Amino acid sequence: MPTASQLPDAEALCAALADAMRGRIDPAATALVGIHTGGLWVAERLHAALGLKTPLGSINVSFYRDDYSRRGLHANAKAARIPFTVEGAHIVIVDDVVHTGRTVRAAINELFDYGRPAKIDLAVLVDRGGRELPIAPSFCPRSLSLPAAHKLALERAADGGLSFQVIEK
Amino acid sequence: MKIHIKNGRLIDPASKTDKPLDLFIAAGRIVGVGDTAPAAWGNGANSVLDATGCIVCPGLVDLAARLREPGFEYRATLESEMAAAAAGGVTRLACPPDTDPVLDEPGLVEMLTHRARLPEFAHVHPVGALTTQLEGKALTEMTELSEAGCVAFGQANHAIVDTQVLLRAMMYAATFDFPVWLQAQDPFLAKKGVAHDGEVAARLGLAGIPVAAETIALATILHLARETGARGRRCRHDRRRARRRHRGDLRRGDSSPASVRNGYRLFRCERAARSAAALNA
Amino acid sequence: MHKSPQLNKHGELQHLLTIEGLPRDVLTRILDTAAPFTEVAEREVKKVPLLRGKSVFNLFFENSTRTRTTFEIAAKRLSADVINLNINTSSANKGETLLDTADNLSAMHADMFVVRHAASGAPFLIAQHMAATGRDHIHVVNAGDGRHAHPTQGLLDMYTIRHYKADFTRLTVAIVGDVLHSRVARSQIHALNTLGVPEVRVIAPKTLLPTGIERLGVRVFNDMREGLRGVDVVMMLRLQNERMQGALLPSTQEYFKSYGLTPEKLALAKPDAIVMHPGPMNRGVEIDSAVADGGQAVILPQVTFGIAVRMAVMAMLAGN
Repeated sequence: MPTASQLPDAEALCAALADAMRGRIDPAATALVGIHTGGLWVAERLHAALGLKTPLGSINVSFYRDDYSRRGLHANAKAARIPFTVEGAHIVIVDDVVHTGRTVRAAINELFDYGRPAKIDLAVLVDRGGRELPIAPSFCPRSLSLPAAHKLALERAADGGLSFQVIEK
Repeated sequence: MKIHIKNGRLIDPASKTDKPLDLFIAAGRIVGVGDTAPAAWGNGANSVLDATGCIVCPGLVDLAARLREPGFEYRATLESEMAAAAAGGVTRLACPPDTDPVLDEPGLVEMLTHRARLPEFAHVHPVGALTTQLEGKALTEMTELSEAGCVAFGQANHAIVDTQVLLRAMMYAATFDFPVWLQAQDPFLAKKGVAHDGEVAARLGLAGIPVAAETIALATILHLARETGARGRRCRHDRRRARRRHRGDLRRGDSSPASVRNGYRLFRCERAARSAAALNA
Repeated sequence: MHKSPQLNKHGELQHLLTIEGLPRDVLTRILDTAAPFTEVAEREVKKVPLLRGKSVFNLFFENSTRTRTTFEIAAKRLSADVINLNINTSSANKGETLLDTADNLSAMHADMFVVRHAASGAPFLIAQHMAATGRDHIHVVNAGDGRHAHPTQGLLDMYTIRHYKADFTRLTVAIVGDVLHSRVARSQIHALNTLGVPEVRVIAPKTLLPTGIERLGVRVFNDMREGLRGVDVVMMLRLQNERMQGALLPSTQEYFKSYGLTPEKLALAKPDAIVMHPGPMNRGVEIDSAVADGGQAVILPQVTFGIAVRMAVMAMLAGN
């Protein structure tokens, strides 16, 4: 298990991600959609840091997961909020970690049920490898690898500070 | 108007009084009972009635007086019946719903109470039909009939054969605390009978009605009444009681119409027996 | 406490047959799951792919266009294939038994039966039969059985109450009308009690109340004005015309006078009380038009919530 000092610094990565995106996206015409829950926290930071005009969206992907038949309906399904027109939009999906790529695929499927976007990009804090689908982030400040039994999770403290934890499954 | 009724035998069941006592009445209210006038009587009454040899009592209540209106005016009229009532000391009468048309519509009840509002005579308290046309199939609009003046609901002598309808009728009446007056007679056992089943009927060759006709029907009614609270509801609370204080007397007699009727019939049997004996002598 | 046949050995919902016997957390989970489904209806593509490839058979042995349509919409919004069977017009008339019908349909690879039947207990029989013959993957949803239960209606009514009133534990709720014949009322009573509503009232004439109804956990009122005093939620029940023929009531006019919800009677409830009705309404019989169309009525939102609740139930069942 990585020690606390070996865990990636979430706050620093947020800043780095914002830097990477600044100048490469149009703040007047780009929409962010965060995936509950960690992705949404990151998206909130990016939205503020990049001064985006379009209101922030959020999705849950519970209804689009491909493991529903095996695992049933997730207990914490929340309603999606897409406060802009998807048709013809440039959307950046934001998540904390990309792993197998199935969550991102579910998010893309869900967005397509709202309309046909012009372009979709993916922004994540950490790419931990282990892809099972051909999905690649457009913006990602850090890669690392972890044993399959370990889950990398983003936490938010009471004061709003973000940090990573590793949970053994 | 001051009235002094003297020398009469005062009978008042409510206070269990039965002795010679005078009665003093002023402005329509009894203000004194006894040998001497009450304090505020002043000098003399406007009217003194000598009731020597008479009974002085509260007005009698006839629980089933047929006024012949509407429908049977060839037999008698409201005026004649109410005059007869007053002459006999009956000051309140309840009339059963088996008029023609049956008292199952608020409009008919209103017409009757309007017609009966004759000042010197008795008060009329209509008993509304429990089922439409007394047919024992569909319920009447009891709250409407009650508002039109019905004090209770009954079937005269038309039994409700369908016990489910009887149960539901009692439940509905009990919902609003309306009293239900029923005659206990099983219609099948009483069919075509004219006399009590027994020695007199046997001797005179009259079709008899067995006692079971009444006991079975009474048991049915009492069981259903217990289940629906049709009677129990009356005993509790209640706001309506205040409004109908005068009619409180009328409520008590669910079984009395039946017993009065059978007694009458028995009386007739014995008279018939005496007449037949006289013929044979 | 006997095990509910609706829950599998993990305590998850296997069938939805009745609200009675379901623990509070299961009911709450259904309401929580329904919330995101309300949003699906607002989208351009009103579908999620959860039940894609699954077959939902609507077995309606009793006619009902309304309920059948809402179940159909809910199943289709989950991307399921929906087959509607109005059994009056087909094999049951030829004498096929209920279980034979169920067997035949499961041989056609049904995944879910939505059953409405005039006999109380019919969906239980089907669910039991499926379990006994090793077909645990087939889920049964009760869309109304006799006078016994209508659990999805009870759930959507709870969802509606929670939407407008938030906390069940502070409410007084009155159910008004023909409780005797109502499966909706029975489901509502069980749900309200399980969710912790402190006072549940029923208001009806004695002829429309089942004997012993207090034992289900309600306070009985025959006087509507008394019963509505201080109430937070008024749940109206439909009065069917047949009740007049059965010597239960004299007429709809008299019923409306004593038990119809008019603005004047509604004023006895709390000023922010909501008025509900499972539909379809008989205006001028159980409810005055002024109330039905007024600001306190939430009857149309009930319909919307009904689709979301049914989607939630089917999604939860199919995933277990």
